[in-house]
Amino acid sequence: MISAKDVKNKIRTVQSIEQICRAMKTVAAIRLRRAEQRLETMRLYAGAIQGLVERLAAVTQDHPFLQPRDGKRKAMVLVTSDRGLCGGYNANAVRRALEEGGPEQVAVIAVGRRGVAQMQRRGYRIADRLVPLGGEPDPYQVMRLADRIGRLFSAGEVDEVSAVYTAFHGGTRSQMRREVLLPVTPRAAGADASRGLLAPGTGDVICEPPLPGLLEGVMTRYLRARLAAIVQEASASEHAARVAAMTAASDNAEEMIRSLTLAYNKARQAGITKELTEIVGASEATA
Amino acid sequence: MPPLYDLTIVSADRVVYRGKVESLVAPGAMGSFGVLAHHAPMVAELETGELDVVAEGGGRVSFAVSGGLLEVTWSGVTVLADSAEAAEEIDVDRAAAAEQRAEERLRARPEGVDTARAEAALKRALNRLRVARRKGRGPGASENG
Repeated sequence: MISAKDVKNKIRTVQSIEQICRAMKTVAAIRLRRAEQRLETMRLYAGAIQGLVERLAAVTQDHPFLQPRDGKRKAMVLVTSDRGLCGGYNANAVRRALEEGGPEQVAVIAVGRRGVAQMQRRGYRIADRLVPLGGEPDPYQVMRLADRIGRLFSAGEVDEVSAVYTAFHGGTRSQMRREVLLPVTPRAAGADASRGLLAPGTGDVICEPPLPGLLEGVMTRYLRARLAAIVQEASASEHAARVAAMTAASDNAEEMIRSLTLAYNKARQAGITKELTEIVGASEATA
Repeated sequence: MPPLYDLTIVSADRVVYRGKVESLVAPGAMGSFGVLAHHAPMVAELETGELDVVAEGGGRVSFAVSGGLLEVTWSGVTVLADSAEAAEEIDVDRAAAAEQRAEERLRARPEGVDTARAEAALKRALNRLRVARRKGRGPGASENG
């Protein structure tokens, strides 16, 4: 039987772990709330520019981003977190990323430290990276990465850029998603046109500056918005995953403290009983 | 009363304005242009400048816009701003500090300074200061919705 003192030490250890877990949970919950708010406007902005691009793409494809390629060189943006303690968040993302193809077929553009380490270990080339991502992604850094990705694609160094990330579904729910970033394939160009810019029977849009000059400004902003939205989705998912993981961990710690306290009380009682028996035994012997 | 249309000004981090308006004048990359109701579909690139809106009822609202896109559809106008603030929201001290910082960078030109970036920053700061100074002009200048 372990001594009461050992059990007491163990209880103290678990208690401090529980405190840490609760603190991490609180921090993650605050960040999640902020990330959700940012995600909401980001979705609105990215959705608006997506619509604009779809309507423009129905009229012209005069930009590298809009032209399908025959080549097979692929790059994949993989969004993970910098640190662990967020359940299966990173493992799920990496597992999905591996389905994209082997190290010979795909180069990785890693957002978040975990992705760099995990993919490098498996022999993938890290073509670009954004680390550390941090608890609140820096919009300027994300924008710069988007511009670098755009140049990589326009220069013909890669023929397709996809993104693997965790999309946020509210609460603690999220889901792995895989999207093609470049080339831009407007979902059935024209099908969408009737509800917006191009009323049925109208083919013309006033463009200022005229096409194709306008497209540069549009496509640059489009890619920035897409990437920023993706990173924001993933960031919200990360915080949600951390809240869930830390809730489970602190609940477990609490349960452990309960059973350890029971063990402690038993050990203490056993000690007292033993001492009493000895005293009684001794006094009877001398009587 | 002149016909109205729906205007949304949104940047990546917030919805800056949403409401029914009579007209607007935007800082187009090729010069300022105006948009009234029933304007033909259009996509325009904006540069750093002042976006003036005449809201429903004739109230004027000015915004400092730092580049972006403007789309006119049959259902309304959307401004996708790289950043935008209503005149009342502009932090004048911050803009003045940014102006000074950018000017110093351009004057000193030490190794590694991105001149284009500093120039753009200066332009944004000057624009914010100009729009902020002009707030409250015109009849019925109102808060943004």
